[in-house]
Formats: sequence, C-alpha cells, structure tokens
Amino acid sequence: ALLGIVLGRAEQMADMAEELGRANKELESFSYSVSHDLRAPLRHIVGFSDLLLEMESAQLSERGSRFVRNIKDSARFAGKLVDDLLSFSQMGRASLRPAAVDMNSLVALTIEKLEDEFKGRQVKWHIADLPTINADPMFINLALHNLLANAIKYTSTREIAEISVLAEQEHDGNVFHVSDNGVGFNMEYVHKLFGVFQRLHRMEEFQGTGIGLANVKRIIERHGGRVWANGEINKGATFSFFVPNTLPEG
Amino acid sequence: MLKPILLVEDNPNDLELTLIALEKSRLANEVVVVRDGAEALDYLHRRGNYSERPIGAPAVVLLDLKLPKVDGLEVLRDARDTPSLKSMPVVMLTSSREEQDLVRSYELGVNAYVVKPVEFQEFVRAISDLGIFWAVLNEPPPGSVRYLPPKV
Repeated sequence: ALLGIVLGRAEQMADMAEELGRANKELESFSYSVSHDLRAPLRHIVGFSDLLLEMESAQLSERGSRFVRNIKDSARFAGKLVDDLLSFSQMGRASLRPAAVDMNSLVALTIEKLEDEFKGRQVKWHIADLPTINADPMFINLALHNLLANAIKYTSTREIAEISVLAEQEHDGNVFHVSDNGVGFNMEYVHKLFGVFQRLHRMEEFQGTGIGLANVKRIIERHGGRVWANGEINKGATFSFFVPNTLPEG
Repeated sequence: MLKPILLVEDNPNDLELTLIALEKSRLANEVVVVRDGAEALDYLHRRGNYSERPIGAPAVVLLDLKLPKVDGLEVLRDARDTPSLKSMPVVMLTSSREEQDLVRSYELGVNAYVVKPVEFQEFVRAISDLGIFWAVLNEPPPGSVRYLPPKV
C-alpha cells in the first residue's frame, strides 16, 4: 500500500513538473511576442509623430504641435513600460550566470552610460574603492543602472547634486550603498518603494514607470541578497543592497 | 552598375518609415522591396516574378525577423546554404532585442543585428549608417562589383 502511495505521489510530481514546464514555455512565448508585436506599433506612433512635426509643422497650430508632442511622449513612455516590464519578467526567469564582477569598473561604465541624463548639470560623484564580487554581471549591471539613474533623477532639482557609492565588507558578503542629496522620501512609505508600479511622486515631478526599484529588489533577491532604503523628505536617500559571497543554488 | 538594396519588410508602417529613412540618407542604390520571406527567396534565387532580373546578389539585405510565410531566420539559413549567396551581407532589422533571436541569427551567420530605434531621427541615422557601411564602405566578397561614390 505504501508503495502505491509513493508511486502515486511520484506520478503527481511528474505531472506538476510537466505542467510547470508548459506554463513557463507559454510565458516565454508570451513575452517574446509582447516584445516584438507591442513595440512595433509604439515605434510607428513615435516615428510618424516625428515626421508630422518635421514635415508638416507649418500646417500645425501651436496647440496642434503640442498635441503631437504629447502623443509622441505617451507612445515613447508606453514603449519604456513594455521594455521595463519585459526586463522585470526576464530577471525573474533567466538563470544566473555568475562571474567575477569588478564593481569599480561597473560603476564607472554605468555613470558613463548615464551621462546624457545629467548633461548640463553639476554632479559631484563620490565613488569609494569597491570590491570585486561574485554575481551575474548583466543582472548587477541593471540593478546598478536603476539605482544610479534614480539618484540622478531625484537630484535634478539640486543646484549641485552629490551622489556617492560606498561599500562595506561583511563576513559573508558585501554591502553597497548608493546615496544622494535629492528630494528623498517619507519613511512612512518605505515599504512601498520596492513594489511594482509603486510611485511616490507625481508624473510631472519625476517621470518613471514604477518598475526600476522592483527590478533591483528582484535582482538582488535572485542573488540571495536583500535591499533596503533610508530617506528623509528633502534630505536625500540611501539605497543599500547586500550580495552574499555564496550564491543560492540554481 | 550599382547593386540594389533588398528590403524585406511586411509591415506597411515600417516599410514607409524605412523608405523615408533611406530616401533621407541619399543613397544612390535602388531599393527593391519584397513583403515576405517567400518573395525574398524568389528574388534572391531569381525565381517566379524575379526570373528576369539581372544576375547578382544585392549590396545588402535588410531583413525583418518576423515575416509571413517564411521568416527572416529561414531566409538567412537558405541564403547561407546557397553558394552564390553565402557571402552576401545580411542585416537583421528588427523590433526587439530578444536573446534567442540574436543567438540564432549569429549562429546562422548574420553580418549585423540592428534593433530599430524608437526615435525617428535615430532610426534615420541607423538606416543611413547601415546603407553607407554596407553599400559604400564595406569591401564586398571577391567577384562582386563594388560601388565607388562619385568624386565631388
């Protein structure tokens, strides 16, 4: 009788594994077509709006031009949403490929990549000497990109932005802190910061899809680490994450 | 004789945007448009409607990935399996950067993989760079004719 139960269980498990595999495949092909088929029409809207502004601006009133620009901005934003959601789902599914990641060069590269975002602004960078960690370079790159992009964005109202990246070594891993002197946030809402589509600011103040920090959290948790934040309204914010030396299996 | 650029694109909006971009880049090459993978293969193999066209591979093929009937990867595979088309430059021009598409395209021997930029100005620049690179700057495989731009 016991053997019967065991065999029955094994069969159930096999069925479940198959079901899970099928669901995963379906999700995979779903996000594949979202990425192709949803991006294309958004790109067309932006493209034809650009052409309208470029070729027909003489026929457009000032109000008309503004409407076209709104159309374009919205389509571009929708495209960003699609990209961010896809990357969020990818960071949840793709397997980690750990390697030695030199955080110094990664931070330098990320800042270079973000240069357009702070062009014409005064930004003082304080980058400490950072360790090399064992992590998936692509994943960590995205997390760092999101954190630094946020620091740049939320200091845009400061005459001189100050952004620092520090590291602390612990016995079982490394902690990194990204701090800024920007608008900060109310600690009452700190539990919402890392949720998907959670925004603490109005769209006119700071643009964003509300996916960036959720993705940071997901990336760090995939590495078996954790994220947290400290801030005060108008006094800046510090985002911290811990990456363990030993990554979880799988 | 200037070799044409073969544009394989099924979506009418993309087709119009790409043609405007090509026009803006002022390339002298003729642009041949086909609307699906099967028609692209007819052109490349001089079959069907294209049996009368002059012999020779295009300067470059701008190939969309998702196409009706025969998709971009199948067109690429066919070209790479055909001796006369083996070394013809093929550029994937697509909406998205899905890793599986990139991997498969490069495995099949694509020459470049370009994700269409969202901003039209950038799109024009990308198309114009591609055209200039493949139709003008690039040294084509031996046996094909290279286009020399007229000296001003």
